[in-house]
Amino acid sequence: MIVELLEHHIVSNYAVFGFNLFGKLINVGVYEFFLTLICALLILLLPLAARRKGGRIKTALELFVSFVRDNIVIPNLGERAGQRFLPFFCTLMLFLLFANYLGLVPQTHTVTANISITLGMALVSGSFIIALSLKENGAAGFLKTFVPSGVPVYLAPVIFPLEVISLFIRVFVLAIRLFANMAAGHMVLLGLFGFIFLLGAKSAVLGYGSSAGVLGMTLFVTILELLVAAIQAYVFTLLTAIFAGLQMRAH
Amino acid sequence: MDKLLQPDFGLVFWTIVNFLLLVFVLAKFAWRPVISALDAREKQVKDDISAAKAANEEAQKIKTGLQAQLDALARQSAAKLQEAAALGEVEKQKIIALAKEEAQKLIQNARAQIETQTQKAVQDIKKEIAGITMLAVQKVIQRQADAQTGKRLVDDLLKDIKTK
Repeated sequence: MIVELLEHHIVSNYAVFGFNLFGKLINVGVYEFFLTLICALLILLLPLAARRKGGRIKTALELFVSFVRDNIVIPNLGERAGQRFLPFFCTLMLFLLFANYLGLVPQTHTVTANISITLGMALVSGSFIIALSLKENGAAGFLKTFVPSGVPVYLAPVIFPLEVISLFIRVFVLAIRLFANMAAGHMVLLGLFGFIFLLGAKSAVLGYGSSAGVLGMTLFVTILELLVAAIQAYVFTLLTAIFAGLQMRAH
Repeated sequence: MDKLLQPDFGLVFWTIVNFLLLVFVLAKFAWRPVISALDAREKQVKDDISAAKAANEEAQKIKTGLQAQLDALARQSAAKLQEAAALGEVEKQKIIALAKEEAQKLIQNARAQIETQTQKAVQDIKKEIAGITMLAVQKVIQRQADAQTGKRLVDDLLKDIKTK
């Protein structure tokens, strides 16, 4: 039952509205809708905040940027590449933060709990990692980053495919990690709420009686989700930077 | 459960397009202003710190310079003071010597004056005595003998007095 609920809640991309494009009906699913909403909100609000001369929002933005720069980007990519790609990482982390937190608002959908969306993000990260390495090292140098230095020549043909697979796995795991963490909170919440109905089906008293305890637990899980939302946005961004840094320097 | 892990490639594509658009727009209109403001502020802070350090060093230099000058001045004034004290001592000795000399002179003068005064007084007294004596003698001679003998007598008497 819970799996069905989850599939309905997380997977089903039911159409919010549809429109006619050149005689063809285009349905806009709920995930496309929320994804676009997040992007639209960020595009509308952030430049406004950035253009302000002072104030709390601007200070918060500056704090955020310096956090991403000093803790995530520069330590992994170095000063030059770090400064260049700082906007990419800022956008990545802010988008994930926004998406993760928006999912906690009732009546919305957590877009990052959908594997399609986290896979899309991971593909962006993977492409960034490969593109950066190609740009920094050239095609031959890029291939060399898959053979760690110090590896005997006769082992290189074995190591090379392993390292290539490792890169793809790392990128794929980025998608799985974010998806799993965000979906897990929903699963736990659904499971907890399920208690009320399971017990309520046996007797009304049990159902009402359990609801108070269940609410307490769901409150705890929700607070945990607040934490997880921030941590996962940070982890995704940090890992993208770490993998990019590893792939950038021939190791 | 399989559906949970079944990606919908339309949504994957939509995600990528959306996110790249977001990166492009935000990089241009949001992050660049913030980053440049941040960089400007950090540069300002760095500059301020180095300026403050330079000013501090300058002040330290000036302080040591002033201290050296003060020390030199103190040494000079001490030397001057000592010199002045020595000079004063010499001057004092001179003045004392001069005063002693002066006093000696004064005493000598006084003595000489006393001497001459005394002699003059003695002379005066002698003359007085001679006058009185002559008067007395004249009186006696007028009574007892003629003028001739009397005169001779007086002359002898005067001679006697003079030789005395």
